[in-house]
Amino acid sequence: MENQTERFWLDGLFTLGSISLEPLGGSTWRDVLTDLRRGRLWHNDCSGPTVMSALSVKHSACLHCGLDMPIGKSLIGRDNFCCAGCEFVYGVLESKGLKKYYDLRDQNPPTCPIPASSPTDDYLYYDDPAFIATAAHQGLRVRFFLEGMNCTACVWLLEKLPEVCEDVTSARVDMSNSTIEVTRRPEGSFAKIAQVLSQFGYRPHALRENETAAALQLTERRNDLIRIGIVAALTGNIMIMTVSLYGGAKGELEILFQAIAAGLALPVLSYGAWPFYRSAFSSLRARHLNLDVPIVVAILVGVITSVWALATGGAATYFDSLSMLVFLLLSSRFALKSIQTRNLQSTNIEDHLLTGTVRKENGAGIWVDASAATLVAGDRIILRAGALVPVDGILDEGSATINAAVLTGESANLRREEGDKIEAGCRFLSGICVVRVTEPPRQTRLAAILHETERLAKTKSNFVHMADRAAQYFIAVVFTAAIGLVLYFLNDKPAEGISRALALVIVTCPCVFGIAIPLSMAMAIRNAARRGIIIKSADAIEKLWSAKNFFFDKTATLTTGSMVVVRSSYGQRSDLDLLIGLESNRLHPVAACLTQFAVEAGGQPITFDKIWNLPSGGVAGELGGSTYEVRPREPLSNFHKELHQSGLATSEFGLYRDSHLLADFEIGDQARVESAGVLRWLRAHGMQTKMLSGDRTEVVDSVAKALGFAPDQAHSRATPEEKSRVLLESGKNSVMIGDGANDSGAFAAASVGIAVAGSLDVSLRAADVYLTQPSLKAIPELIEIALDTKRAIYRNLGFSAGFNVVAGALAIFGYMTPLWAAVIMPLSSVTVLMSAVISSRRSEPKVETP
Amino acid sequence: MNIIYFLLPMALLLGGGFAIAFIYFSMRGQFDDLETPAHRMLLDQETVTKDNLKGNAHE
Repeated sequence: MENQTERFWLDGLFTLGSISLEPLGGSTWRDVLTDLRRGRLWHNDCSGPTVMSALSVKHSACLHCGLDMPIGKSLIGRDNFCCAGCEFVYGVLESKGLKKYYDLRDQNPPTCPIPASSPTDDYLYYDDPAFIATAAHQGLRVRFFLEGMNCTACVWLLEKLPEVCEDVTSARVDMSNSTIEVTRRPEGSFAKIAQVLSQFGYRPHALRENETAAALQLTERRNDLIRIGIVAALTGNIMIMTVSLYGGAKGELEILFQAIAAGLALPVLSYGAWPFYRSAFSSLRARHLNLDVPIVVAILVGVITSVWALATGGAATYFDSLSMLVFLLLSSRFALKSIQTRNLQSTNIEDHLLTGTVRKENGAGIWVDASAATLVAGDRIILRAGALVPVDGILDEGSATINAAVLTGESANLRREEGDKIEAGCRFLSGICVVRVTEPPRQTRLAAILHETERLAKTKSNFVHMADRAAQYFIAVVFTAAIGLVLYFLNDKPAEGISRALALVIVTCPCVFGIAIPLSMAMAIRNAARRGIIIKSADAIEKLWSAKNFFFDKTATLTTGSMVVVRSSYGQRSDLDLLIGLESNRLHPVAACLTQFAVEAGGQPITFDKIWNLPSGGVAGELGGSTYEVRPREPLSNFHKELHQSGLATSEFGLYRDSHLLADFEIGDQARVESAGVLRWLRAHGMQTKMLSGDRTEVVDSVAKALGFAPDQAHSRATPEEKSRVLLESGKNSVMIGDGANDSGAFAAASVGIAVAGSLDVSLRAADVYLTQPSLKAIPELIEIALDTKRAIYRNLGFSAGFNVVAGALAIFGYMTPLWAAVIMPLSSVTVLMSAVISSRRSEPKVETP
Repeated sequence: MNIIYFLLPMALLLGGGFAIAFIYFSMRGQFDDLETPAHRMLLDQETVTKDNLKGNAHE
């Protein structure tokens, strides 16, 4: 083996792209491997202790998605694309003359690399009549929520959908909600449309909108906008009037301007400020002080003082300041509200399992299509390959290969024979079988887990915002001071005491809580969305400030979740031909993985004279008088041992001719390229990282070792119930990062749940944050964004506290004239507002990724 | 200064007019999506239709 080319997949050692190596005479592959591990090959000049030649390190990126090429893949002959999905999408765009997409995308920073994905789902349930009846407008128009839509290029490409997919007549993008409204031809198929969307890397989720709820939401938004518009118009005119007053209008004109200002302020302070009255009232009724209480008190005090002044001919009217305050409060709340994604939360979590169609045996023994929702215990069903199993059941006939990663986290595919149990949530991969339903979709273990998830998610919404907590202290301090003032002057000059107390309450109105905090949060959510991080509510940002314990799922979160050849060694290309000939007709996942590898590396199929299965799990064939076998390698190679020592869970297969080894292949679920770096970053920033996986102990331990988890930080064989229990027990500062249904309970139990790209619908809905790009690099970015927001908010709080202390002191000691109070209050609001906007702008390019 | 008694109602009427226009267009859904149009206008129009040929002729 000394002189043949070896191909390695190197876990976490490189972030540089592909590397090809060749040992010179005198050195062995073992030396090369040792050097690689010690990180000696970082530079082009390799005058290290080992003699090396032909070392080239080059940076390479995928033509379609622009992501770094994973090392294992770039070495196997696909030069320009990181995966089959990217190659496919590039091909489609090229053939339809839509390559302008790449120009647009590259012109528009921040770029939004769209990850192409081979669809994991065939979306056939979108053609289910039950689905069309509930979700499609007149049976033709459906709104999809799309993951990963961020930039102008996305809008361009998605609105070209009718050119790419002939089933579509029109497509209209709504970026602010990340949705697309698609109209199909009457004979078109929604499943096909969803498949195309998913191939382009935008995973679609049809919104089964409750028409009335959606209409209500829209009306609410329009009403909010109209309220802001009216308040803005009135406030503008009030300002004009008051400027004349400040300018020194006297006599008849003074009275006229004051009267007009008061008249214009009436709708602002009644209709405009109505949401605050309502919220303050309900908060008082719940015996809990929220932020709107001090705001309403300030407004009411201001109105009373101003009306009193108007009636008695005094000069102290506050109509302009109060109107401006209402306008700013309304606008900043609207900004936050319209930016939060509520689309995915609106639907019932359990429902998604009931969408599928299955083939069911009816009473007369005939197989018919039926909606999964109609199944009852005792029904016999046939599953489609690739479908999620909707029921708990028993295999009645035949055998099946399933993957239970979604439910249990176990990465390996499982074999089920007649009489075995199959649980809902498993993915049915291959086989021909009939399943007898024991529990219909609503009573499965998965349904119970999801139900629990929903319950936990509801208790989670009791989070008390920092702004509200601060408002309680604030209210206490200001009102104690105001009452103190009144009492202090009570005997001497009661009028003076009341006027000072009023000035104090008005001038210290908590603008920073009401305006700057929601605005900073809104900016953070927006910044995050531009980087492909969807934050569902501002609560998550606030909770991330104190996040300390990070729990990671393993399968498909820290690892890519699919089996690939991570290392191979073969002499000639004909070895690959043999491999394809032997493996291409088998359904076994290892066979599929080996075939794919051999085809990608340039192998051609060979027809064998005879092929049979080996009892050990391999396959054998006869060709030209020789017997060829593919089976687990024996004895294991040194590479395999090396890889195992470095902590990789892989299995090794050999290709034998008459029991003589020709080639060997290492297969495993590989860690994501960036996993190790992200974990290092978290640890370097003082976070605890832990792994919480349902997979087998050996696999978990080996991945833990490779990614630097201490043995007690890796928890294996965790059931979904256990995961949520661990998260519940770990306290307030825990973050769960995962993908499957087995993580959804943990998402709800964790302080913040983060679902990675490619997650199941249920996990997306249970999570607080989800990443639309298949990279964990977004996690450090998310934390940076959260902490930047915290810094901006605290800076504003500091400024506001300083301002309130000074202005409050001036009011207490009687130096705050009504005119000054009226000018200063909106001034401080605008200052914190500007500060919030500017700081979020500046923080944008600062995020470093590992 | 009598002019002010004419200008003041005019100013208020003008403001009121804009407010009503705003309410009308809000109801019609003009402000439902504030983000996509900003991107859409950056995209060149490629399909040459009769309508925009006419438009070009005017310029």
